[in-house]
Amino acid sequence: MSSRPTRNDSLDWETTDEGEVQISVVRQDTWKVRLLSKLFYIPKKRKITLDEVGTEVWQMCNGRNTVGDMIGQLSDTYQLNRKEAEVSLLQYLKTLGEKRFIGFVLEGEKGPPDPGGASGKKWIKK
Amino acid sequence: MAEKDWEDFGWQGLRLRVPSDWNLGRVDGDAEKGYARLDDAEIVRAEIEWRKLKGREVGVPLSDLVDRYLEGLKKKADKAGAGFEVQRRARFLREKQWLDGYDYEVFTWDADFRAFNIALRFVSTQRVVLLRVLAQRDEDQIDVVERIFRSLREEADREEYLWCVYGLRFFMPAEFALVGHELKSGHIQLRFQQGRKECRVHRLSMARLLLKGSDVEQWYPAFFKKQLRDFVIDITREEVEGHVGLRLAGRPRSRWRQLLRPLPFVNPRPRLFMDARIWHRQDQDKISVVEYLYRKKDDASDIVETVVHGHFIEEAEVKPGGDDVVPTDEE
Repeated sequence: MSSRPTRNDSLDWETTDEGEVQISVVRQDTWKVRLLSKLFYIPKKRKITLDEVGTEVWQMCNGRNTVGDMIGQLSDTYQLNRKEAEVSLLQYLKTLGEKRFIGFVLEGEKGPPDPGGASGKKWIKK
Repeated sequence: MAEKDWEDFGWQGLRLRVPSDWNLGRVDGDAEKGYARLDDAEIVRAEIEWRKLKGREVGVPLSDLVDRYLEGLKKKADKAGAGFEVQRRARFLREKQWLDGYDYEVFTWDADFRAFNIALRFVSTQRVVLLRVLAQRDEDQIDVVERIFRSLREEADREEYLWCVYGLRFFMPAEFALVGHELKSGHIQLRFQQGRKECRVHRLSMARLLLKGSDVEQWYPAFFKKQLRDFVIDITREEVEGHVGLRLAGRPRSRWRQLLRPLPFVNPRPRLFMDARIWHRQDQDKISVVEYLYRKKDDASDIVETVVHGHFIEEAEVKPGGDDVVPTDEE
């Protein structure tokens, strides 16, 4: 709960006009992928668009918000019971972590500097 | 802790009042034997186990059942090499008058946490309940523990049981037994049956995102499309307690139509009727659905209305140490 999810710096992402986050994933350049791409069509770059909740979580993954903060923020915004928010958020963060879209800053480690987020919005409630 | 910071937890005819940040973490079993665990953001806070005594067990004194339970725990602790201290007939409760007439034992044990336990036998149903409240060793939780213990009650003598989980709160006629539940975040579903009659209660969160600008009338048939495929449905708009709502009446599709369907020719799905109420609480951003399915027209009943009107109607306060349920006018 005290770890702080942080976005993978090497990923390109942008916020669309509709306010949704779009993450660009570049095809891996390994011999296996190169071989497979000869047999099947694998685009060099694909875009993943997050929905409203996914976008909000993504923007909160700035290395400063703890998982606990994020649960509180989601349960307030969407009027969810804390446990409901916790279960779905942890599952979502796990998925993002497995895809290496995010990492986790552990307690005591220094998080990234505060750029104000891509949208310039501060997410930690005062 | 203020009254608003407390909430009911109700499951399988047992109810108690706990701090509102304690939420169901796990639940197993049925009315005869089961277990529920409530967690806060950090640790397990309460565990409740229940078992209906049968045959010879009915004559076993409660203290013997507690002996067996503690022996099991001690073995586990010894195996793990952990310290385990028990205090039987503990005296941390300030007020015990409310326990008069009950067969009970209060005890504590200390391991990684301090566990305050009460074992109670409800004579009318021969159900033994063990309620355990856990506290960090440096925490003073006596007031909280006492209040929770005093709020514990069994609803065996009531016609309706309170079901209360993750803020979903309703009364269901006691003759309907829980046969299934799905506690997914965003969609809670409980299924109850009495014989061949079934009542389902759904609560969906994040209604604004689900509706995406449409209304409940368009959303409901689309969201429950698979479930509604065997029904001819009539939907009418009808408010529920002042909230935008629908009334639905479903009848089985014609037998000819079912025969004309592709394989399998023998349709294993029974022909059912359905009554349902659906409503959207904008203030809570939630959609609730109560469905009643039955096989014969004669089985039609007002159960949907009973459940709907025992649904979120009033916050009920369990008077500590008493049997009265005192409605408050908070809502």
